[in-house]
Amino acid sequence: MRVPLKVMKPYVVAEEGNHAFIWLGLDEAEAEKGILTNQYLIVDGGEGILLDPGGYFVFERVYRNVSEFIDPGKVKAAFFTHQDPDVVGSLLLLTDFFPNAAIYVSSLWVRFLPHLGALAGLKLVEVPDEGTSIRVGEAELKAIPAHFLHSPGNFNLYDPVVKVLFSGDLGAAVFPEGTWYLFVEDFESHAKLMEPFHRRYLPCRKALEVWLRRVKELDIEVIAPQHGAIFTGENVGRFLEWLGGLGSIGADLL
Amino acid sequence: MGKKSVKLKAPVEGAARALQMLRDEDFVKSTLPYLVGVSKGKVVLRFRRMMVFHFQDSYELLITTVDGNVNHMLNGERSKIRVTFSAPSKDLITAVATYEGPRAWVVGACLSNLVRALIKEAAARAPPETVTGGTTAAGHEDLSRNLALVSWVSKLLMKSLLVKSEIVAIPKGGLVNYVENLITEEVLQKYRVVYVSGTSDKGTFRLLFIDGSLAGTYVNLGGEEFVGDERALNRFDGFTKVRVYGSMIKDVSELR
Repeated sequence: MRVPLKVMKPYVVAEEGNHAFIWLGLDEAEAEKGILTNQYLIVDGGEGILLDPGGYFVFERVYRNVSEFIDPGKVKAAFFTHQDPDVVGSLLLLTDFFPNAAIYVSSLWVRFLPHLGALAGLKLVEVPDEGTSIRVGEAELKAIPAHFLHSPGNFNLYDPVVKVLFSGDLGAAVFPEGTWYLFVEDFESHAKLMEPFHRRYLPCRKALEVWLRRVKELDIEVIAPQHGAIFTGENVGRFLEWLGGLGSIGADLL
Repeated sequence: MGKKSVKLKAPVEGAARALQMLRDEDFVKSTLPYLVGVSKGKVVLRFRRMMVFHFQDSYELLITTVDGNVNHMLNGERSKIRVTFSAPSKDLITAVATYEGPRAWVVGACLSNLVRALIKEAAARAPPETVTGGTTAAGHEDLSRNLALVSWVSKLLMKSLLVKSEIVAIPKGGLVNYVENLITEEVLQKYRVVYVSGTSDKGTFRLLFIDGSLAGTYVNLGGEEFVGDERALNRFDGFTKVRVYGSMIKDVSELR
């Protein structure tokens, strides 16, 4: 039986002045089969935003770790890259423990969120297809379109202060049992852990090419995915090149 | 190669129970700060100073107990960390941590944080000395204590619906009346268990109603906790965001 992995302490991925991009630890459930989820917090000048805060079973750890950096009442927003349960599952807990957080989500998915049990009182911000800006403290974060990768209404979040791109499911990797690492060191071996996910979950080559053109215009030093490990330094470029060289994916293979 | 040592004392309620937690290898591995990897039973720690200087090594963790003290040996490929935890009294843990290896000026600056984090989490996660498990006159468990736990509230909300949310100005002493008016007959008829929470700049309150009666209260005012103390509700005031959740559970004992 797989022994569930737990990392209860957060790790500051990037920091500048009173601005920080923080990884919030991880919990593994047996059924995840190695696709561990990452949750992140960006803080700037005493305000915060949660990125893909996850489902119920990770929430206690997320809440505790956020509280190490910021008063939960100062979390002004939660950003959902898309609508999957490992992204939005803890919605009712967010409303209770982060009561001042507005929920940023694609306009395609807003109508489905009440099915998580929120019949009233949700502060939803519909992100239009072209993306939007989200102000947290003094920072102006950018919701970058990543449609169809893998969800039809899908966004990444770019943090220009520390030049981190939160890439959602792009960069997802499946770790073998008993192995996990936060930062990619050996790109070639890590690519083998990413390939099956990207071939099956991404829909087609064209969506990926549009996204690659868009992100190559950004000044990126770190790519932080929702699953898998974080790319820094030269591995950022290697990852983008690897995506560009994937060839046929998803429906292209039918 | 260099060497760095730190000594520290941490006041802890139930030091012996916290020390017991520090003997648990799974607990220690999952709680280590600076953890950035796990492979073949080893833990990878990346220490950092000022976001610029790093030192990373892969360590095997060995925990031993000698004369009541708990020793953590982290044997790395290039370095070693040894921490000895003691409980000289029922409310104090002392620790001595030593690092030997390269970049001692980077790792040495992280040692205190590493040790403090382990002690803090051990104290927080140690099982309580006695299980209160008392019942109220109404026959309910000690629900107020449960309301203080994020894990318990999480389980409750997993089986609940957010039915009402509003922002109101609550005058001092006015919270109880406000909540009585807030939970309408309609809500009470539909849900046997109702959870109400509120947050203002001054704090948080959590209330649990079962069959229309108040069954648990938790209030946190500026970090001071009031568990089961209904008088604290009268101290809550200000602009408050209030949520009402109707639960689909029939019996709160389902939430163990």
